[in-house]
Amino acid sequence: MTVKAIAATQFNERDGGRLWDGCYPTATAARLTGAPRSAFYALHRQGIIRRDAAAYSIFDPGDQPSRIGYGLTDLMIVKLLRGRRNKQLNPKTLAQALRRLFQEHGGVNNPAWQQAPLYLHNRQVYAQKPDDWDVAAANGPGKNRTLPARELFYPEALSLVPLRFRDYVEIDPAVKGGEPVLRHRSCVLTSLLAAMHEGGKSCPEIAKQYAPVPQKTVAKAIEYEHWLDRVS
Amino acid sequence: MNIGLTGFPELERVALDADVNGDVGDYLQAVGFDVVRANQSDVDVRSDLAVMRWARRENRFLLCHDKHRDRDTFLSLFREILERGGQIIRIGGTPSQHPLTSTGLILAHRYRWLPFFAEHSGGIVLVHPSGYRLWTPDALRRELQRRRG
Repeated sequence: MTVKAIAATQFNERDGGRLWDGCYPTATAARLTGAPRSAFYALHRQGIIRRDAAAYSIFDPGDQPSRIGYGLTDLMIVKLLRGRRNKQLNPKTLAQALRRLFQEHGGVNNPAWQQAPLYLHNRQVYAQKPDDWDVAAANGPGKNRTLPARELFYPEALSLVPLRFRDYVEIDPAVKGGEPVLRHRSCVLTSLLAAMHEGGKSCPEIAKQYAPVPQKTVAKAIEYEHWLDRVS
Repeated sequence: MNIGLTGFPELERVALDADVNGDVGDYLQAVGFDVVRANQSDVDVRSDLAVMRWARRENRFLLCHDKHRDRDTFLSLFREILERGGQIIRIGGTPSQHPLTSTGLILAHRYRWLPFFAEHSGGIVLVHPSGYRLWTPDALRRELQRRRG
């Protein structure tokens, strides 16, 4: 996940609706996060994530979106909830705090996001210090804690793309509808490369076709797609 | 009609967006199309608008897949086509579909999109297994006005 992927504009809201932060159907969202679909359904039922991101196809009749799904914000929230170090933390308050951090600081790669304080009072999590924070602290020493956001999560939860693929693959809602693409100026879809590979083309052949994309980048992109298939 | 070295007639000039399977370009080239690929040019392929402008500068039909986008992207695309022109052939299905499927759709509907683009300097054609759809500048203008609300 790049800072660009979750740039400031993408988590702001305007006119009561969302700005473009991608639109991922449940199956795609589950695949990209490695979380089962049931996790999405459950979190949606609890009101923790929202399935209201809309995408349009140019050939849609009327002004109705042709696709409704989760935004990248929700995907990150699911990933972070599943990767939280302390499973006792209340998921609803944690998700609210995360959403607030995304709105203020953009993506998780942003150092400001990683350093942003989260306030823990028992199992509750707040992005802003609660009004009664000091009073509560006086009443129960040790119950209140302030931690940088990143310390609440395992490192692998801090990105949709695992570290070993991050130099080669990126997900950016502004690029190719938010599908995983090569982190290369050619922006080739990783799914396309995997399909070509499955169709019988070797990595060198694909790299030659998409020159100057390095062969290693092609191989890593295909490996990433296989990894997605495995974890989903 | 000119006859190229391949023995096939020299067909239209097309530009492939980055989401179109590279094999589609090879197949089209083999039957006589003049093909260039966006990801092998200097254009910023992250931007749909930039790719469309590049294809227009190159005087080529832009081949891309039907994509889901936010409303603002479509509005700016419509506006660009209306104001400056641009000819887009959108291929139904997904980028991962077999390249022969995409190639077949382009060729099967050529007799539709070729006269359409001869008549309109700006417009969009969807070629799909279930048929085709033409968007004239007037249709785009109406859509633009309606979507602006």
